[in-house]
Amino acid sequence: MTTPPPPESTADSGPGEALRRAIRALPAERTPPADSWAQVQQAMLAAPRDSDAEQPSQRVRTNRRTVRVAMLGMAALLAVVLVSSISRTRRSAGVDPASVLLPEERRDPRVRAVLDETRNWRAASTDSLRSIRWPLEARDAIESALVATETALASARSAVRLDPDDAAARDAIVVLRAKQLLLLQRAMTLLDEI
Amino acid sequence: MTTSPSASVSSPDDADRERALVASAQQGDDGAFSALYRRHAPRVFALLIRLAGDDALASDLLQETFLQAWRGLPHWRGESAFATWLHRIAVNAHLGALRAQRRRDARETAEEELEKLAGIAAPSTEPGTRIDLERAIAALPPRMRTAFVLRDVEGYSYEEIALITDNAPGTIRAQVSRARLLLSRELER
Repeated sequence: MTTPPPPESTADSGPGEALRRAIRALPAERTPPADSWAQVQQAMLAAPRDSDAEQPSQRVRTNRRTVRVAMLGMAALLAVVLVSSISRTRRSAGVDPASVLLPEERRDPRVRAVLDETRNWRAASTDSLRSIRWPLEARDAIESALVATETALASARSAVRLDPDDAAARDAIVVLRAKQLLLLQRAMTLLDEI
Repeated sequence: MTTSPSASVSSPDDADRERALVASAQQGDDGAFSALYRRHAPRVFALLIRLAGDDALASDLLQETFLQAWRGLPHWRGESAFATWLHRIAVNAHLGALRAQRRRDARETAEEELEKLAGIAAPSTEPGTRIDLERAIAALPPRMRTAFVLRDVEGYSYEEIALITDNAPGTIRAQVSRARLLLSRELER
């Protein structure tokens, strides 16, 4: 039995035939500039990769910085939080994360847990009383991480739609969801402790 | 087109070789990472040119993508194909640049984007060729271009694009629809 394509909220006939042909004819590869790899190498030397051993101290530094920002910027944050809460409410009102799910995701109780936690996060981050102590820096980092995870999920779903037997992509969706749940739960706990 | 990013690996032997290169690069072997760069950079660069609409910016984003990959490799557990992971980092790098640009230029309005569309109607010397389409895609306003490339070239759903670009699905549909109309007209010229 093959997996049915994901439902679209309204019919989409896609691009016209001529445009479709032209898209198919686009080159899959382009040669990067000759000095591109040299630039990457320079950057690799300038910014050495994180090793596992460096992580705890880095985490401590990040937490200290986060708390410092929270303490010093509390009064100034009030106005910003109120303004950003309003804009966030308006921006996030557009999409229901459940609308992008694959059929098997809809049936997965773990995904429902993630969606519940996402709704909790949205509600908390737009609740100016609750989120007033949250440093904007930390909140933005979490928002960015959530967007990065959704991008990763979109990429994996795209792979599954192209090839319903792509087990690696299906596994990636499960792992990403687990990470997303962990991120949201930890974020809420840590931020509420500040 | 909607090609899978993992198409860079074409045979089981090739996949084994790739796994070995990734494992060596995870251990810090920059020679192995250089080999991975040579394998994947052309495909990632093609994606970034389409998303960014500008070769120089795409080149910067390509470097950022591989730098992030190098730094993230020790923690990567291979949940997806390496090419898929790279592709994801590249899309994120582009979206980050787009958000930064939006912050820098908050004045860009829908009206201004519409004005920019007039620039696409420049005369074409090679009608119907892929060069025309690439040029026309590059001339689209940034957000419209991103929506079109993610939807019609990369195969994302409208809702997924809306989520990752922080827009309403209706806005994304409108942008993709407008882009299709405009690009189709350009191809007919």
